[in-house]
Amino acid sequence: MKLSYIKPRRKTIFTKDALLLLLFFSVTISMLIGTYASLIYRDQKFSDDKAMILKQKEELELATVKAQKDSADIEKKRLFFEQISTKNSLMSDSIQNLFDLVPSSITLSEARLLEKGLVLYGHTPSKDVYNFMLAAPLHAIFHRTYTSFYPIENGWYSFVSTNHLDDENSITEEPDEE
Amino acid sequence: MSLVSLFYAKIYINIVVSKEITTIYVEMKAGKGKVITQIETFDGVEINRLMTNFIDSFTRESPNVFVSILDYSFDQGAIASCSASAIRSQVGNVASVCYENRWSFYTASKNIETLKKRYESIGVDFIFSPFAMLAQFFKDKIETESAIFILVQEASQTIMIFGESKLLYAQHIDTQDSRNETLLIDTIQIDDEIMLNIDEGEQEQGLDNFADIEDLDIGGSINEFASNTKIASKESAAVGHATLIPSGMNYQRFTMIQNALDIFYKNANYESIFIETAYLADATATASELQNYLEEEMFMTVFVRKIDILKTLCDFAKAEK
Repeated sequence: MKLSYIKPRRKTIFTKDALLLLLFFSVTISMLIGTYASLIYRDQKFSDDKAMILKQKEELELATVKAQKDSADIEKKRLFFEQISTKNSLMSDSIQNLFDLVPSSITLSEARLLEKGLVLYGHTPSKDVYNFMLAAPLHAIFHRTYTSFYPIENGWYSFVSTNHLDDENSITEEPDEE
Repeated sequence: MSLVSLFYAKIYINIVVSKEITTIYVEMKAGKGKVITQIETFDGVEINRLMTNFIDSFTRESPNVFVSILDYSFDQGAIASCSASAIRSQVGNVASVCYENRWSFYTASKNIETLKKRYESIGVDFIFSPFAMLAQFFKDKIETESAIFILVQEASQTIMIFGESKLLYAQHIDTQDSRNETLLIDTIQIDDEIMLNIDEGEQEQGLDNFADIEDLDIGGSINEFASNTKIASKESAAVGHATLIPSGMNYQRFTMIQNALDIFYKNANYESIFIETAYLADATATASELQNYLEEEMFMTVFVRKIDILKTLCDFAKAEK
C-alpha cells in the first residue's frame, strides 16, 4: 500500500566504494588489455618482419644462385675467349712460322688452315726446291704430309701440299710421298 | 527483487522528531534473515553532524538505504474524500494520499520540500503521515466501531473520529505550539464559566435530552447528556481541573481532545455523532493519566494500546513498493 507522500530515491549499486573499486579494476583490466594488445601487435609485427626477411632471404638466395650461374657462364666465356685467343695467337704464330718456312723461290697461291691440318697451294720452280726447302720443315711439323705436283706452262710446278697432325694417342703413320 | 537488493542488505532508517529531540531507529537486514536494530536519540530537530555520522555508519555499508520520516509539521490533516478537486477546494495546495479510496490525508506542499531540504544531506525516501499510522494501527477497530482515535506523541497528538468506517473529523495538534497553550488557557476559563452556568441551569431546569448537548459541549461538558446523575460528579471533576492543569502534559492533551470534540460537535460542517469510545495509541507510555481524564471527565470508554512509532514507521517503509 502506498502511504508515503513521496517516492523513494532510485537505488544504485554504484556506491562510492564500489565506484572506486570499479575504477581500480577498470584501470587494471585496461592496462592488462593494453599490454596484451601491444604484445599481440608486436608479435604480429615481428611475424610480418620475419616473413618479409625470409622472403628477402629467398630472393637473395635466388639472386645469388643466378649470380653464381652468371658468374659460371662468364667464367666459361672467359675460358672460351682465352681458348680462342690462345688458338688465334697460336694460329697467328703458326701462320707467321708458315710464312717464315716458305722460301722466297716458292710462291704460295693459297693456304688453307684446317683444325689439324694445312693445305698449301703454290708454285715451285722444281720439285727439288720444294722437297729441300719446304717439304723438310713441313715434315718436321706435321705427322703426315702429302704433296702433289702439276707441271705448268713456264716449266714450274704447281703443288698441293696436304699436311695433317694426328692425335697424341693415335698411331703415327709415315707419310707417303709421291 | 532489484539488483541492489541482491548485492546489498536493506537498511531502514526511521526518523521521528519530537519536542527538541530526534530519535533515529535503524533496522538492517543482514544475511540469513538476521535483523540488526539500533536506536539513538539526539538533541535538536535539525540534522547535525552526530546524526549524519550515525546514519553514515550504515549508509557506508549499503546503498540500499531507505530513510523514512514521520511528518511532524503542524499544517497537516485528513479529509473524507479522495477527490483531488475536493481536497484542493477545501485545503488548497497540498500533497495528499488517498487511503483505501475512502479518505485522504494531506500535508502542505511546502512541508514536503522543507523536510526534503532539512534532510538533504542524508536524503529522504518516505514521508509518512501520523494519520495513516493511526488508521493502520486501529484498522480493526475503525472498521467496526464509531469512536475517537488518538495517536499520542510527545510533542503532538493526532485525532481522528470515525463513524461506521467513515472519516468524520481529523486534526493534528502540536502540543508545543504556543497558540494551543493559549487556546488551552482560554478553554479552561470558559470551562469554569460554563460549569458554573451549567450548575445554575441544572438547578433551574436540568438536562435530560440529547438536544441540550450543543449548549453544553462548548465547555467540554458533553458527557453530561449521558445521565443527569453524572452532573454532580462533573462538578467535582471541574474542581479537580484546577489541581491538574498546571502540572500535567496529559491534562493539556485531554483539553485539546476536549476542544477537538467541541469543534466536532459544534461545527455544522462535520457530520456529528455521539462519541463514547476512545482508542489511544500511546507512544509516550504516560497515557494512563490521559485515559483517566477521559474516563473520569468525559465518561468515555477508553482503550489504550502501546505503539512503537519508530518500528511502525519502519513497517510502513517495508510495506511501501
